[in-house]
Amino acid sequence: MRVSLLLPFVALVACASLSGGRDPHYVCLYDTVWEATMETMKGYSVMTENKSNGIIETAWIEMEGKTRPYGIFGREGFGNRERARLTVAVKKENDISSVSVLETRQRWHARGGVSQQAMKWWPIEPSEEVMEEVTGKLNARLKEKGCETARDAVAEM
Amino acid sequence: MKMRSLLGALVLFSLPAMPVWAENLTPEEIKKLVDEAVEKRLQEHERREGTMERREESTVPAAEPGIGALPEVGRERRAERQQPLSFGSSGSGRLVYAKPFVSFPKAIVGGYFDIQYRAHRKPVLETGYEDIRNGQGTTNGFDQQRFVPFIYADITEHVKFASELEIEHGIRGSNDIEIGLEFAHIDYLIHERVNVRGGIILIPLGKFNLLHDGPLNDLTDRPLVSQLVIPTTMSETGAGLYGTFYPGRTGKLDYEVYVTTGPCGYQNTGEPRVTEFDGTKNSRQRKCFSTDGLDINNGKAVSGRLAFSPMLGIEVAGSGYYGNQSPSSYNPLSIFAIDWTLQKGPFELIGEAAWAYARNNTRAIPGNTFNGIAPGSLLTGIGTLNPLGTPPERMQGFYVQGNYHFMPSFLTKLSPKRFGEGSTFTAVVRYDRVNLNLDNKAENAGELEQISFGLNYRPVEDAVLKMSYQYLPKSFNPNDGQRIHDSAFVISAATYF
Repeated sequence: MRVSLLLPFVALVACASLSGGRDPHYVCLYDTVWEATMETMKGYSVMTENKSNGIIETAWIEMEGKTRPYGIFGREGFGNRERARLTVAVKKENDISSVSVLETRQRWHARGGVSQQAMKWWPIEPSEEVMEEVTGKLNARLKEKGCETARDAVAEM
Repeated sequence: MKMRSLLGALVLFSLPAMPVWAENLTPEEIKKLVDEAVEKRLQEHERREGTMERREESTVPAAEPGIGALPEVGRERRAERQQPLSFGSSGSGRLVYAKPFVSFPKAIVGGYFDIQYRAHRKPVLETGYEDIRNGQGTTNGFDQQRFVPFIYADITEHVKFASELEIEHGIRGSNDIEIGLEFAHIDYLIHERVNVRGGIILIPLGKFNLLHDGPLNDLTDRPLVSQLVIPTTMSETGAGLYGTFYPGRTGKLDYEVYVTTGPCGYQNTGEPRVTEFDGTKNSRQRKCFSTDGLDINNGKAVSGRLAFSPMLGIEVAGSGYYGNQSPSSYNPLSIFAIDWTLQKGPFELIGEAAWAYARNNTRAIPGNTFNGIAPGSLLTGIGTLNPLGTPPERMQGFYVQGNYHFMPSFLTKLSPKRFGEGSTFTAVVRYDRVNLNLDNKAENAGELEQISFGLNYRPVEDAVLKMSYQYLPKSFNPNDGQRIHDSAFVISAATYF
């Protein structure tokens, strides 16, 4: 079956596609990294936190997104509503800990006409700025606590 | 101006009451002082007037819908105090303007439109004049295929309405002009995980049926599998649920499930409408002979789609449809489909595969009145090209399409307005294949194969100019009933407006 021949290719592309999160590694104790991450995330409407699996999730925050006119006349019909949430995963990897920061961003009525799909959230590219901001704050906080990023530690050796 | 003079006079009169100031000030300073005081008083006066106006406004009795001045659409808003339109509302002809979305415009009117020109190597285009033209159609022509106005309304935060009115080949002014509601439904949003929908609903069977608009798609012609195995645009009257779950950090799971009127697989004579020539196209409710498009039996169809996206840019979905298509027996039509979308940077790989099974479509149904065929007899030579064949029971097809989006930098430099941000070119290649009668190993009108190469230009995301070359190693000429080898050049434009 020709379709089944495509499946490995589909799986291959699927595995190759990553959604562009931040994934810094720190030479530091897990507990220290977890605490610093929790402190960093304080201002982000944390909804769930679980130290045992290292996951911190924020609530969906709605906001005005970039202007996205529709149609040939560039009308404003469906507004620019966007929402985003952050998920942060802290993992222990031997002597170092990693923190993965990922924003999931969606847009109400992504594009085009009114189709039946108008009434739902559509995934769009995450905000690089937001993920950069969280990672930057976390780096600064961990530096205060004497933790180095794995890259800096390697450079010093 | 009058108010300013009066206030100025008052301030001047009050100056002697402030001797310390009056004696030590120069005339210029006094003038400046007066101007400032007048400005201040004016502002206070305006503030008081504004408050009074608002108070007066709030004492106006609630307006009865349909009475009073016509609302200025887009500026006047339907205030909370306005009484709702009901059978109890009174008024003259103006009552027609008392609709909520005239007095409080939260409805959006838009639509899409397309125009195409196609040139085939063989005379395959159907004109209806084939008898005069020695059984041949034409090779080329313009076609304004779809003009689709839509209306969308945010009734409340939780109640939404959406509809599309489709006018196909609208140049025809009489008899068989195709106008129909492609979909029209009301949604009640309960929670992101569960929402209710009722009305004329696009059946969630494959992704293409849900996102079939001309301006969205990168080739002019719809995929063969989405025309003939999944009869896009397939919509039925019914109700159901839809929602979204978020498993894991990046996962997304969308579902839709509906109960609808069901398919219409037979003419009112009992002749099958699922054929080797048209696939399942004519089994749609919109093509049915039934009065007012009502159900032809007491059975209903069930359809659903489950789409899983493990991360942004990847989605794989399975969908199905099942319903009895016979008015006098149990001959269900079932269609199953899988679809996939993969996006990585400027590349996209999309596709769909579908399988259909029209059970007992090869035999006459009870109560049929055509050709004097006894119920249960094989329908030899009907709905098939092969005179010894039978109408199809099983059919299958798929398409795979690759897109590459790009914008040459020299064009952006040449004309940033035309080729700047938001505009893009897309190179497309698609392979299509269907077999509309898997049991017919002889001449089969529904065994089709097509390879399309296309290039698009989108000046903005929602408008597109397309051109494509189609190579059709396995095709069919409906005018003379011959299997042919064909090719075509198609150019078109489509836009949302």
